[in-house]
Amino acid sequence: MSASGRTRSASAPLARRRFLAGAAAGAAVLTAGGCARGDSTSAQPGNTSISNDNATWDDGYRAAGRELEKITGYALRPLSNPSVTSYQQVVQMTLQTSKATDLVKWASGYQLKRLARAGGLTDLSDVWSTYQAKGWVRGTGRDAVSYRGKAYGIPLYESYYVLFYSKPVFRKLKLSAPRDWGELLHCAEVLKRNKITPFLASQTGGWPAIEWFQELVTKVDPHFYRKLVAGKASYTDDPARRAMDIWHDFMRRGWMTSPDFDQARGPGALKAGTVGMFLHGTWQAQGMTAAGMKPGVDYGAFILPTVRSTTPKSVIAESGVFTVPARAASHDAALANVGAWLAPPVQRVWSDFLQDSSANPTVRSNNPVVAGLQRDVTRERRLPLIRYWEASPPSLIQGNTNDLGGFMAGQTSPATTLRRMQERAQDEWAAWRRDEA
Amino acid sequence: MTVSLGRVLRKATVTVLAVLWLIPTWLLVVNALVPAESYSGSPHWLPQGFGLFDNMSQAWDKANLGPAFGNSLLYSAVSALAAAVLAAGAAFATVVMPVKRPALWFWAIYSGTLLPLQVFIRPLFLSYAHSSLYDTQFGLVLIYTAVAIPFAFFVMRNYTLTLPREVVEAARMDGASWWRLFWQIHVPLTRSAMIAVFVFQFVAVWNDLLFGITLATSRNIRPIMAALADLQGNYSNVGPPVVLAGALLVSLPTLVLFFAAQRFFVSSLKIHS
Amino acid sequence: MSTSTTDRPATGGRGTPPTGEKHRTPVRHGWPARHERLTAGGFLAPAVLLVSLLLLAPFVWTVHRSFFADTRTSPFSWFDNYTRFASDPALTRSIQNTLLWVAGTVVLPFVLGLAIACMTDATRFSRLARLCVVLPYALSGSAVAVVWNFMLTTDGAVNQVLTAVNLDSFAQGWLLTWPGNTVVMIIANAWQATGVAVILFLVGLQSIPPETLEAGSLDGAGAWQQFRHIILPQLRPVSIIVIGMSLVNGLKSFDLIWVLTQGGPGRATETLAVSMYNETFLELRPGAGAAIAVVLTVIVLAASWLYLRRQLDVKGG
Repeated sequence: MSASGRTRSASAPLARRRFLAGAAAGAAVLTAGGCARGDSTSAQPGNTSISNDNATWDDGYRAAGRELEKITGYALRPLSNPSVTSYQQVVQMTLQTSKATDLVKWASGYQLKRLARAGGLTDLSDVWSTYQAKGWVRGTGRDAVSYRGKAYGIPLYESYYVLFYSKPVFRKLKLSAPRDWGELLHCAEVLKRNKITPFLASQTGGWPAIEWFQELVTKVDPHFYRKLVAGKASYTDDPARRAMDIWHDFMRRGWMTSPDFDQARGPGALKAGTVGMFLHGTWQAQGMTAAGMKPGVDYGAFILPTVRSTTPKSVIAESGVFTVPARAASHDAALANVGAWLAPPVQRVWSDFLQDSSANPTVRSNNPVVAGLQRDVTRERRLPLIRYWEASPPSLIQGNTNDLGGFMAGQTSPATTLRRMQERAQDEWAAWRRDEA
Repeated sequence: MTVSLGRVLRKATVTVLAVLWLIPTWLLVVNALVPAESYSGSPHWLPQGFGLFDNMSQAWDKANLGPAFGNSLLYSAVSALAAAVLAAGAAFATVVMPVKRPALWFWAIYSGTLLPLQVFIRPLFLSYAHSSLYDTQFGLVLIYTAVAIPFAFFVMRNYTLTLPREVVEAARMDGASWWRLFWQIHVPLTRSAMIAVFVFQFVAVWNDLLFGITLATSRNIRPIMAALADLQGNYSNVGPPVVLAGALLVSLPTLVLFFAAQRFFVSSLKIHS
Repeated sequence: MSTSTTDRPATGGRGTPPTGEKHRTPVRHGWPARHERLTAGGFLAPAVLLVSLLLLAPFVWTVHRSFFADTRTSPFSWFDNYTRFASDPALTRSIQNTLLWVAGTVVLPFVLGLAIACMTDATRFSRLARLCVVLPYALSGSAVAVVWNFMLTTDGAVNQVLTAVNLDSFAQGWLLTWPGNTVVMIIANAWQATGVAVILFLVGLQSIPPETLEAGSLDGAGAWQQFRHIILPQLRPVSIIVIGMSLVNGLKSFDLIWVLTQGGPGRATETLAVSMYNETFLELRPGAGAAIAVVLTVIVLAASWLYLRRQLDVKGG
């Protein structure tokens, strides 16, 4: 103990008392202020709250909500949670309490099935039938939002997985959007010769590892993909093996970015001409605009061509859903809003904000690139396939995504990766069926 | 001559270490200075233009940092202060006062710091939701104080062990009550440890993200790191300069606190003549 | 030393009454001793209550959860969740990483923090140098993560520098291969954690009486000898804190790993804390996650107890 400490204590009792008094007063003020309650979780008349995991869409929800208010009288009030895992936790835990928001944004497919299985979601089959009668929703999408025959979600948007490319760069190298596999390889070779990395591939964040897997498997054999994700085909079968070999070959030739390339840098890299083609969902169009690129002028997009020209054409489609918790504070308002979400005026505003396609097939996107893709999908009669992330039981997908991430980092060979994925598939499908019983 | 060689070596090592430490901070500051539009896509090493304030105000607006700033100030100050005082009291009780089984009390409190925070999320969330503490400022202050106490207790206890017992015994002899002893003798004696503890826990609570996003969701309750995380989700749209400027902005209070505390810590250092 | 002006023994229930107080019956364990214990309880209660309600109770719940399976009906399953440690290679890797982290976070900040605290003094230059080292601790976690991402990705700052000085062969995917990725993350963590050690050592150095140092130098001890035989022993209490804290932080390390690699690629950089988070919140297997949490806590408790038990027996330093 230092000598200075002793002298200090002897000389300042008055100062200390004043300090203590001040601290006590401050503490009292703080405690009074500390009794504040959250203003968002309580019900507010005139609008419905939405849980969502992407704060960049808040403005879009509000804009769409203004249109909704004209129809149903209820606006939208988004509450965003910045972390995806935390978002999932909070939603699953609040679903069983009275603190659930009125509307919840969730993924479709097995992710929705798992949520529905826990109970706590409202059956939206009637809403779905009404939409189908008006032609405001594609009937083929009902399967993706159903659990045991009942529909639990209304599609939020509809995105396709495409390759974005920079038009100026392609023009300079005398390339154009490839229409078949040969042209794709040619583009890659030319880009690589000019010191531009042809493809952007990343596993940063975990889930992006599925993008190239699902893309290559569906372009080798889309029907096989459907069987694979339904648990009726094996990961070690030929088509999957061929897809992984192609991927491995691309990586070996240096055609892909290193796996720790953050996709958030994608638009910038495309613009700067360091990366040639960026595989991502069409919701990235918004990011392209934010990076200062004009659709059709500075960037375009195409769907990956099939490996063989005889293979049926397909496209990976992703669509989030709105669900309504059974214990939502403003349940009727939520149902009204969900029943009017796909109305054309609302979807017009929403689609313009997203720069992406609406789930309502009568509303065409105003983004020329996305509109072109929509036309392509209809014209070529592409088979819409569900994204890998929602296509199988979530624990299976999570584990397989980790394996794919390891494959991208060079930890395992294609054969070993596929073998591990198959072993996990057997276990997880058995577990899912057991839990269903 | 040997003295000056030692001195030179010492100065050289210190310089090398300081420069090494400075490199990441330098990158951070330089890239936050770059105006958002002229960011090239890969990290800058040299300053290029001065867009810092512009970036910071963009970050402030986009992430709506205003209310979150006030919230975090409240949580950090109150929780750190409460933890320092409560831990000092507990350390006083287990070391100076006669208690049976002091080791038991030590482990009862210290074990709180041995557990990874993620362990608490699920059960805490459920109990908060049921008891209406979810999404309230009081709920957050409570958990932050609880999380700050164990380490504060550890430090205070160890510091208290080094104090000589004569002062306390003399005061007891004079008939002082434990309460007065604590406030008028013990607290002044352990001032530097208490200030160190306050600074650490202030920084820890200020930098917390996990509890902020799980146990709160409204704008008027959320702490600042949770609000900043919103901005980072927007990373591709705003670019690194704005995100880094925002990260620097939210680090300002802790930086200021460190400056002030450093002065206090080194005020009477007399190692080398 | 003690006189008999008090009417009861100076300590209640422990220790012998001092000599010279025999004219009073020292054993009146009724009212005064209980009053003392109540006061002690009053000082202890708020801290103990807060910690047990908010921290220990959830942990007990977690231990309870670890004995139930992760299927929909969650039947009681004894130690099934614990046998995963033997069967899952990712968990074995996780334990290896945890050990690496413990070694790294105990040694690096301690040695560097001690060096910097002792080698600097009160001059302006020293203050500046110390500031450089302490500053990172005050930066927010997101700033630290973004900047280390900048530095460590394959086209990040470190590789940029290496290519610029023609050391291309050293440029690699720092975050992509094991064990390199764990090592660089430990270094990134040390970058931040050393600041705390410096401050704690400064506090400790402040409490060394200057007379002891002067006596040492008067006896002709050189700087190194002064350090080894005078300063180091006096810094023991603070060293205990620094090592105890580093031990715990090393075992609990999560934030930096999660932000830089999410425990990947292929779950190669997971530590036990990250695995616990992964199992509970991503794979949605709370039973398995609870089992990992329990194992981690047992390890942390055992390590801390082993290290601290000698300190607990010694009262009064």
